[in-house]
Amino acid sequence: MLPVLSAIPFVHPVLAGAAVATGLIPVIIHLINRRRYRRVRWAAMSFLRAAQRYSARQIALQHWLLLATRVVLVVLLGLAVARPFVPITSRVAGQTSPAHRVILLDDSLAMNARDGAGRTRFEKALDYAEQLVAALPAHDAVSVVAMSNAADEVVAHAAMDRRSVRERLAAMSPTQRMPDAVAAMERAREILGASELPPGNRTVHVISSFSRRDWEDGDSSEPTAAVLAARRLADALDDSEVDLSFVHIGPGEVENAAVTRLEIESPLVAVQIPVRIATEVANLGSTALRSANLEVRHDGEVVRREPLGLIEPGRSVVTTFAVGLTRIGTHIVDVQLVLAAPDAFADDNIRYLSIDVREAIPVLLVDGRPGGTALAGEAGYLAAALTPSVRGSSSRGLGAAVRNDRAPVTPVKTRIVNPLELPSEPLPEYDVIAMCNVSRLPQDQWRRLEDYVSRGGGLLLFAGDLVDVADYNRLAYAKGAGLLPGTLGRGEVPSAAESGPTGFDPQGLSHGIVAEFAEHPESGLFLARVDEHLPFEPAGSRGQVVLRYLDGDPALIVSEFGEGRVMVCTTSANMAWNNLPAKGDYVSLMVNAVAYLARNHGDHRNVFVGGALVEPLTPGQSSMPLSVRTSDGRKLDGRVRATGSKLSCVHEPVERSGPHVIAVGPTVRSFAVNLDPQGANLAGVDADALRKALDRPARVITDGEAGASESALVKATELALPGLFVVLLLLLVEMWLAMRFGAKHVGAS
Amino acid sequence: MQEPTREPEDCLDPKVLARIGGLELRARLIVEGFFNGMHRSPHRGVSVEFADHRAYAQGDDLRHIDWKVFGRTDKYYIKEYEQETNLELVLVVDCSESMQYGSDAAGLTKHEYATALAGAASYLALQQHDSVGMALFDDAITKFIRPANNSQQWRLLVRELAAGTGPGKTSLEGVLAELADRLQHRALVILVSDLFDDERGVIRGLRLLHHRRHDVIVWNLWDQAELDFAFTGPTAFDGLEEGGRLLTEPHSLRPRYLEEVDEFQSRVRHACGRMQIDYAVLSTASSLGVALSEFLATRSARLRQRSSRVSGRR
Repeated sequence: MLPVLSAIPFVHPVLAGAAVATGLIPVIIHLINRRRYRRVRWAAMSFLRAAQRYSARQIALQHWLLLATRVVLVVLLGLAVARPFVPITSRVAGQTSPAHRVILLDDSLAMNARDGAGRTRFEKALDYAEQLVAALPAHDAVSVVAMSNAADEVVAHAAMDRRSVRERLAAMSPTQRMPDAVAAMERAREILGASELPPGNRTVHVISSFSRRDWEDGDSSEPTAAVLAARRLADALDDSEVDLSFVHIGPGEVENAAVTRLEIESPLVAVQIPVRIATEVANLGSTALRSANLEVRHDGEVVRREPLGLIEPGRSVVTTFAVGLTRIGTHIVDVQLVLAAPDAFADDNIRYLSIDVREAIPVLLVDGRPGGTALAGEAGYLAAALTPSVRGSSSRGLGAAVRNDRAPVTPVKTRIVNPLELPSEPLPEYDVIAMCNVSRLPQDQWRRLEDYVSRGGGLLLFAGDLVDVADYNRLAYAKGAGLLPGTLGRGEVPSAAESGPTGFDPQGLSHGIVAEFAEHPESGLFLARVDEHLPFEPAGSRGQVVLRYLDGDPALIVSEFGEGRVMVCTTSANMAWNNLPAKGDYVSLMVNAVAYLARNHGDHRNVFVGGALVEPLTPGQSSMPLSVRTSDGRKLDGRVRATGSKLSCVHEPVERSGPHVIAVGPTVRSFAVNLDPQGANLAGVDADALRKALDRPARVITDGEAGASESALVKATELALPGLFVVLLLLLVEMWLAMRFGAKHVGAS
Repeated sequence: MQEPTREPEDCLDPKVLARIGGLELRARLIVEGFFNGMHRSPHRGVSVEFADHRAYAQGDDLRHIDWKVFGRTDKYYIKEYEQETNLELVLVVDCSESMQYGSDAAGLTKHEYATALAGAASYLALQQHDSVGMALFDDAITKFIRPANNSQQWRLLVRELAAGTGPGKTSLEGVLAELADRLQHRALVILVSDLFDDERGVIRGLRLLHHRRHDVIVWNLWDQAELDFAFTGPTAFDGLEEGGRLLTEPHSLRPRYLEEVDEFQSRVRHACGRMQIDYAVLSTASSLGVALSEFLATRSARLRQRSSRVSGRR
């Protein structure tokens, strides 16, 4: 019986198995009844024995017939509930030759969304996939690809064994990764291309929520990468209308709120200085969000709880708050959205931030003309600007900063040296090195600086009357291979006497260093007078001009070099060529510049799901015990990876959001793993929009239609209803047999 | 609670009889109930049948003068009646183990019913000046009382009937053969038994009695459950008289069982009919009056036959 049943597909195969088992119930009842009888002393035994001899075979036949009827009745009833059906594919296509079918099952972040009944999209998708596998003809081969990780197929080969495919499907679970529809469809093409089955019978079923981000054109008329990949896939199939189907799970709007951003606002972070953190809560649903609260935790302890106001659909609210970090090391701050009623997706209601807190931000100032007093020399004003010691000193003027020595308000710690001392300085210990009107450097020092920047250091170059332009262009620009992102003017230093003073242009201030001044054209930055500067010619796209003079010449140019950054200021750092240091905005500008240039020690500890935890190691640390503790409490051994001369402890890929920890010997580093905020928008593209975008005759079945299609699939070939009729008929037969064989009489002792 | 007033004819109901202790009382009540139901008294006009007239002689009872003949002939004639004390009744009662069976519905076991019936019949016969004897048997005659008509006979009969059943198995052929040997005069033999024995042996035994010119009545006694076989559900039947055990679904066997019983009764009835033996199937659930009526009817018929034979000889 079991081989027969295994050949019949069921909507609920587990129930079918249970139904077979229930067939034992009448047998058990029969056996129990045989053990339960009453005893009667009887005189007329001769007549009884005569009747028994005559009827024994007939009675046994009746018993077996009745028992068999009851067993079949129970089993059929159970099987009818399990809903057997004839596969539509074999019926519709009349297919006799084997086909290769690839199921692309979306197991990405958006598939975690729950509907009103509490079922996730992934559960629905899995149900559909299992039904599909059950419905396929026995000679078809099946491959399954998970859309969050196409490289790691669930069933890579052309599997004929339905049970193993179903087991693999059942073992799948939704991930927190973003879907990679392009890779999945390319993988499907590869699998079908390598298929050994005869060409012509190749089918792809894409089961997904089809997020708008991946599938909707948006404002641009250009199709998305996923749509293009789908078109390529459709073109690779013989008849895309038949061979390519998109099963749309959970289309339309979904009620979801999410914490979409959590980041440090303070440019520089150090111990004892409160860190300002900004977080953004977005209402991605279709109804207004009310009665929500925001809970802030620092290393697991709640430090702040505040209500959020009304958030209209499609809008977001940014909240900033300060957290005091009193311990050097890595900290985890997380923000959780506490809702009055659960939304469709809970995992994006929390966001984590790893903050690396150090004692100070060390900055080396190389003064080309050292002075004797505080503000003397080329770097005196810069040093004062980076280490204001008066609260609120950044508001106006450096004078107050210099006069008052109360608690520091930036974590910068400066050290001023002359160019001759530079070779003896341990450059990697500094976050930023500022060269203030340094005339020239030997070539080996430029190479040192290049090595320092390429490893993540920041270099700030100020112009001045001592700068040997030709030497800079030869050694620092080095035909585009050096640190300078362009060339300085060849000794043609314009003077105020020749061209008149200029100022800074308030237009085009988009870069983070100067963005805060864009809305304040009356600020001190634009009131500053620049008497002299060096012309600068950016080399191609290497450098980005973030601030210009009124005459259009570049004033501040930034560029990337290796893992570090370089910023060039074409005027002096002191009052020699301009009066900017006398303006309060000089502090903000320089602090912003240092914050931009300083290597951010904590950035690599904030990663998305699917990324890698990478903790750089010194050669000494690589021999220490390394371990990784994931957010779900698992403890794993750390793996050392060597990239060039760099060593690091790596754990990848990260599968779940939450705080992770890498322990390097006694040192513990906390990592914040978050969901990609783009995945928080769970809304799927409309079926019509998807059809239109595909521009190919593929089948698109929406969620509702999927149910209808499924029911149509099953209805057309449903065996449950006829089965129930048979059950009803058997029930009548059983009743008749029971009356016929075992008519009830008045009991006698 | 006060017991409801019992009418005399209620005593013919086996369920009522089952509540009455003592076979002697039970038998008397049966007879009284029987005659009450017939609206006749057992104490008036019984025992004699008209035989002939003779001339009046001095000392004759004037009540016996036939005044109609006197009116026609102007002579006194006395009616002569033939006494019935010539009838010998022998009750043959089955006391085998199978007679112990009694279902709840019946109220009496077959043996209780048989003894009550035998007691009542013997009482009735003795009241009519018949000689009554009795044989109790299982696989052999365990007790034989010669027919007599004295005043102690009935008490003797009742005492022996009340002795109960034995463990023996019915063996009628031998019993009836032995009985035939013991009976020296023609008698009315009433066999009260369930006949759960070899059918051919039973018939051979009855045939022997018939050949010895005895009048025989067979009261084939059944419990109502044996006639209906209305059991349901799995049942283990433990046979009396070494019948073994049979576990079966009785409802499945019932039709065939009833057929077997019916065929048995038919065969016995047919065999009895050929020997002019009255055969009656009695249920322990049915009124005893039926059996007694049949007894009286048979007795009267036998006496009439005998009278006709006597008259014929005159």
